[in-house]
Amino acid sequence: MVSLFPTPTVLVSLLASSVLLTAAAQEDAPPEPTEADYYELVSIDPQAGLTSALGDLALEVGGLCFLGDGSLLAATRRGEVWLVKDYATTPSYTLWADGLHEPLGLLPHNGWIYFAQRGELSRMRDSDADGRADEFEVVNEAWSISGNYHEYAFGPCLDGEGNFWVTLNRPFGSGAFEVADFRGWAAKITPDGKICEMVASGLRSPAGIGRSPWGELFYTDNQGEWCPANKLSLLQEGKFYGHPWGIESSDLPMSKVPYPIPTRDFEERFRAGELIPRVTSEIKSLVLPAIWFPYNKLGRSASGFDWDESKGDFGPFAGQLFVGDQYEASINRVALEQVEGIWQGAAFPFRHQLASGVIRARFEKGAEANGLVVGMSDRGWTSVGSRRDGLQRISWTGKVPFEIHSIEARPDGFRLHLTKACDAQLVTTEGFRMTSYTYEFHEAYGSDEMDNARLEIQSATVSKDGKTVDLVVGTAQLLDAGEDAEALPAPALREGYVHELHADCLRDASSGAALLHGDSYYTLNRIPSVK
Amino acid sequence: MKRPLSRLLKSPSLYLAAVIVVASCAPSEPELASVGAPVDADVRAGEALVAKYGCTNCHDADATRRERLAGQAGPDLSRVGERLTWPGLVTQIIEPRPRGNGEFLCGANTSPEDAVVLANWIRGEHYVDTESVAVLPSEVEMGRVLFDSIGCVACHRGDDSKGGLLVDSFEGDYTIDSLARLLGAGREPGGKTWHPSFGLDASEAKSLASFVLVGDRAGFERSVGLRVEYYEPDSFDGGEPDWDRLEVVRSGVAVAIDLSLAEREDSFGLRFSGEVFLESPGSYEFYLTSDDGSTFDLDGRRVIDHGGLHGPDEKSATLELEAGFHPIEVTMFEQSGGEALSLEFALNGLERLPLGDLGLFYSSAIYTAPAQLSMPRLKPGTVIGADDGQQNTTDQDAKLMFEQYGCANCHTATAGERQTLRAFRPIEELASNAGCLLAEVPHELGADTLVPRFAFHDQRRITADLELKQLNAYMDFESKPAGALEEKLFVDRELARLNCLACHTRDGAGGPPDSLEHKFGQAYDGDDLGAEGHLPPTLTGVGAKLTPEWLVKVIAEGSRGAGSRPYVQVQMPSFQVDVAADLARALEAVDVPLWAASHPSREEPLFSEEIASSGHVLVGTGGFACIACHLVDGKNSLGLPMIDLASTTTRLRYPWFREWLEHPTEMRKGTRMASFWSEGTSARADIFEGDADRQIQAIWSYLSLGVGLPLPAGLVTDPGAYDLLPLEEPIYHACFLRDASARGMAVGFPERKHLAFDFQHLRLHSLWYGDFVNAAATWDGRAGGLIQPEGTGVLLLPEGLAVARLEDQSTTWPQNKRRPDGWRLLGHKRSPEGIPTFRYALGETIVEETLQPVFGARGHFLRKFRISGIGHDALFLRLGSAKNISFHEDTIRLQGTGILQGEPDGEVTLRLVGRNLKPAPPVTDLGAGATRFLLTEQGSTIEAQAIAGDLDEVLVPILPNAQGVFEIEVGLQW
Repeated sequence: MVSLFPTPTVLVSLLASSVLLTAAAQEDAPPEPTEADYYELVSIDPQAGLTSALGDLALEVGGLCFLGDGSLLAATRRGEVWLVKDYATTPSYTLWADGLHEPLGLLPHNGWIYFAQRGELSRMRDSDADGRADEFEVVNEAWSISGNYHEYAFGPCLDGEGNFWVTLNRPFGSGAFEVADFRGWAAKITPDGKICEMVASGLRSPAGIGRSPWGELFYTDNQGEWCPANKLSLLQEGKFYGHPWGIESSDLPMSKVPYPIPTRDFEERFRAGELIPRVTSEIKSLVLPAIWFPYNKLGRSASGFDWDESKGDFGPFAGQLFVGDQYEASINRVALEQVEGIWQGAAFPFRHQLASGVIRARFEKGAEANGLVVGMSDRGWTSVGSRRDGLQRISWTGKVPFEIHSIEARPDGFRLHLTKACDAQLVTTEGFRMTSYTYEFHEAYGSDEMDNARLEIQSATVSKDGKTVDLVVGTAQLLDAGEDAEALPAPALREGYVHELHADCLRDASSGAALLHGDSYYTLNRIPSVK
Repeated sequence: MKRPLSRLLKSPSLYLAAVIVVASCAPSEPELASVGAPVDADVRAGEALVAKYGCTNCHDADATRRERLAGQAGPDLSRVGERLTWPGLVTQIIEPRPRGNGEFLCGANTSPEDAVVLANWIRGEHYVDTESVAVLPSEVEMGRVLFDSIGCVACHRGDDSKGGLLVDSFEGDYTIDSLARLLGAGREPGGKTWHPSFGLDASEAKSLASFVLVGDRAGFERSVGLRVEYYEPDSFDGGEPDWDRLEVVRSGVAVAIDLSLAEREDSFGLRFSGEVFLESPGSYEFYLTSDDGSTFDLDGRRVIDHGGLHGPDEKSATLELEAGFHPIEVTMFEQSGGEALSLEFALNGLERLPLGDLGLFYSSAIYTAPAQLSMPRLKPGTVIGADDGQQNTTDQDAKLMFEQYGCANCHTATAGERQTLRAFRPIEELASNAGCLLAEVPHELGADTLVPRFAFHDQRRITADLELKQLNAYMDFESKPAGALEEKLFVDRELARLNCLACHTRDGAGGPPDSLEHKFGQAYDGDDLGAEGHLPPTLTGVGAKLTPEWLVKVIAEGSRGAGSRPYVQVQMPSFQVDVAADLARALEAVDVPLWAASHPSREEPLFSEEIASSGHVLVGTGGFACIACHLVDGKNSLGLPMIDLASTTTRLRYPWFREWLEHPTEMRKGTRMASFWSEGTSARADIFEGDADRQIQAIWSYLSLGVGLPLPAGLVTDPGAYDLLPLEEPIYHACFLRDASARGMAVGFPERKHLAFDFQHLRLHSLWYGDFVNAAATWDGRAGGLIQPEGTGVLLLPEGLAVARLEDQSTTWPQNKRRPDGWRLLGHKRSPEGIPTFRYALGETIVEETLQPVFGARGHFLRKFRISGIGHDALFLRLGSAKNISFHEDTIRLQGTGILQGEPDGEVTLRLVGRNLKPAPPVTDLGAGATRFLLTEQGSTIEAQAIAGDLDEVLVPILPNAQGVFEIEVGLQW
């Protein structure tokens, strides 16, 4: 009898042979590791049937904070705040507040939840503990808005003295009301809320603000006019960050930043554009970013970020910085170092395929915590994510990926620190491809990578334990001179340039796998003079 | 050419109207000609036809019958030149030409030459434009759909696709525009023609006219290019525009898909439609780039959806396509900033080219109404143009002709009101088969046999033989019914005349025949609702069901003005207001006594807020869940689209409602309406002990709040619509607030009364009731739009703070547009029920303003101020300012413009809660033109003192009580 269906015994043998076949294939070429092998994504979904003011819950997360009891608060761009209990296990959502004006940050502090709204710094609390916020207080309302959609306020972020910092977007187009001062500035508000000073200018779309474990504040800004690529910068009082939108406000009493140039004709002066490294000599107050995120290589819109202070619970990158990207629905990783007092460092791709555009990324705080919680929304700005919004948690699976852990600038090149030992046998100078480039500072949207050079690796030396590779950079040749022109020599390392590295030859000494992410981008602001 | 007119004018017999009588043949022997004989059905029907066709306009009746036979006038001809083409007018004067089975027309029975004279005179200065019109296939198709769906087929019942409309007989009478105007005329209910009005908008009317005049016979031809429509709305909200609802600024033909037709840089839209011709089959990749949103449809399917507000991004899609013509539509809109549009394609991965490089086409047909007349009655080869007949005649001659032919008996013309100027033989003297009832009516001029020609014998009218039989029966009946017309007979006659029973049943008669029922579709694309979803409601007992006002409104305004069944596809047309009023009155007179005879009497319940709030519970999901099927004040139900409950007490009489709720299936077989009090037991025994009487009264009380009523619990919002519905608890919505600031807070309450507070200017901005706000401006796309009250009865508070420091009680109230120096926002608190208290301060003085809605009709809030930290400054609270303030017993009335949005005579009542307001203070002439009333407290009594002011205001000095606090609570009602 011929059956169309295999009998159970036949089925078992078929399965067994396929397993064997797979195993055989593995011996030939091990499957390439994926990000998900090391960092798992879990959606923190509301239970079915939960609705907000407008039917299905739209979880367009703009602000996130943890309450320390396994629950978190998520503020949405719709002005709702959701209390999510047991979010890492069995999430339950309840509406904790509504009617906030596009809140883009949440900060628990002194028994209150502080948050920036479009028009004020505020705080709220649930005074009668009935599960719903009932007191909403103005902390400070010193800044103004004209009623343009792009007039977002991010934060607050607490500095070491208890001051609140808020970054204010510049508007795009007109608003329905009077033109507002101090847009594109960072505001600093005293702990009692009484005094607001405008402490930094030239911001464009400063979607992330955060305080480092050592106390300094950083912020991310988005590519556009006067902002040639996405960037992460040290946020300092009295400094200018490149965008002239609100610099006329420099003359007002609240300003702590002078007009950027003595001649007071900023846009005229830079109409023709200028390469980034040269701008600093003209604008003394200009802060160059610690990290550039080259467009399309490391996303398109840098957003919220946080440091991994877990001392290893999140894997091998303790102390490093994780930066969201709204367009790419991804997280990039940053290893900063300070050279002669200047922050710089390397940025790496870290985790892709989040559900939607990343707005906030916050590390859990607390004993058991080892996850990075990500709040998302793609409303108004497209994201490659498959969903419109949501909350996800990234946790470490416990397996260590083979990655460049960090890059250290050296007088003659770079030292790569690896998470695992590499196979020294396979390391060659040709196995590294390195280019460098900078950007043009101008009004047009973004900048091409300018003044490109190809760098020759003179030597690549692997340490005994296989976890460190020293690259000495030999000559550099300019690539932008045109096809017909001969490549021109350039200095090997250039300050104010991104140094892009593709480490093709690095292989995991134990598995033979390539780097999980072979590309890295080092922003070189200072070439160290001594090792 | 010799003018027959001169012959006419010279004929003395025509000047002597009295001698012109209708010749009659020898009367046949009447069969029922005995006095007191029962009136048979044909006679009754014949009598109704005498009235319907306005016979008494020419044939007077004696005093006992005049009223019961009174008929309608002929159409008003004063602007007929805007409806009919010149040839159409001339031929209609010569001979009757029915346009449909039921329709009836007369012809003046003139010679062609006199018809020309009359036509020129009647037409006057108004001409229809007979220029050719391009008709699009889509318009004809839309017309066909309308014809089949709105109810044309109920009257035009012929077998062909146009329901037996005798199109050939009037083809040249109209241009597309003039027929469209006629069909759309009823945007003002009634209209001036005999045709009922369906209130079609301009594009619907043009489509219907295109279908009727062009229809299937059109030879559609392709031309190069795409049809393009250009729009300039105030703004787009970022979602896909509802193109069909936007006003077309310009339309034309485009040869490329780009922005060259845009006339400004922001807020415009373009819609291209037509066909693309593909020479070869293959894999086509399309690339659509736009700033902002765009769409690309091909073969009726959405190929690329590139909607939303965005920069000049590209989106692409690949399709395997056959060679040949493919319908396409491309839309784009631009909100603000940069703009871009391009659509490219690449065939089989080859070079990218603009879509315009392929052949783009659109189809149209040309309709041309004839400008000249050529008809068989004229000598072969004779053509009469519009100018003929003008010579040698004066307006005076033509007017005389209009009167002598008898036209003036029925018609009003530009130069004269209708009046009987030519008398024919009285009704009582008429005989059957004679005069205008003859098959062949002589039309020789000058003969004393000259009578108008009617279409009684025209066999294209399927009712022709029947009507003749009935009219003849009436003429032959000697003891014609006399006396006042019984209401029931009037109803029957009107229902027949207006052809109501083509769609409706009444007392078992009427309704569409089975053969037509498939044309009575359901407009709701869900469950089949059965007869309730397809057919208009029965008219049995309708006079006892509907309120008199609603009955008139339904007849006079039809579905467009008074429709309550959006799920029924066929539309109720509208009729003249006086016709509606008479019919409604008669229906009530007939039906109400019948109802009373067979039902217990029911008193309409008195309203109370307490009873109404129980009704509120019963209607929601916590009660009988009426909202499972019924809309409430425009909000969708949870399922079916049944009649909006907010209209209940406007539409229905209470006794009918009471019966309907308890016994729906007895009243309407097959209804889906559920019964909640089966065998006297209520499904909600906890409310009023389950008593049906009291529960139904409670529902009625709640529904009597009408438009703007608090919405029942359990409604679900449509996420795409962004309408915020506070159902269980208040909703707070921070926003950019129109006419206020970028720091607005709108709070919506389940009581369906709402507020907006302006945090920038520290003032209550507005209070309103009905719908709350639409959050799209804050939540859709990049948003950044302005929020405004969506409801009705928007109470606008005066500019400036409610509290001010004044030098003294006479100081002018500060008119700051900005926040005055020193004031600051403290924030707000929310009670456990979500009631807000807004807090703001000046120095140590803290103002707390609480606003609480009150359940009930229209607008009602309690506004409470608590002011602490009062120093030594003279602080005042302003309770109101208005053009006119007056005191009425214990209330203060604010009146005038600027109080209620859009209502010049808006009025708001203030009531002091928990205090006695002394009667009106004496207001003498204070010399300032306005009065400031100062309210001062004397124990538990408030006294008002009137002093001169710049405008009428009510102020209260802020003085601390024993606890150092000032408190006052005011009720605002409007």
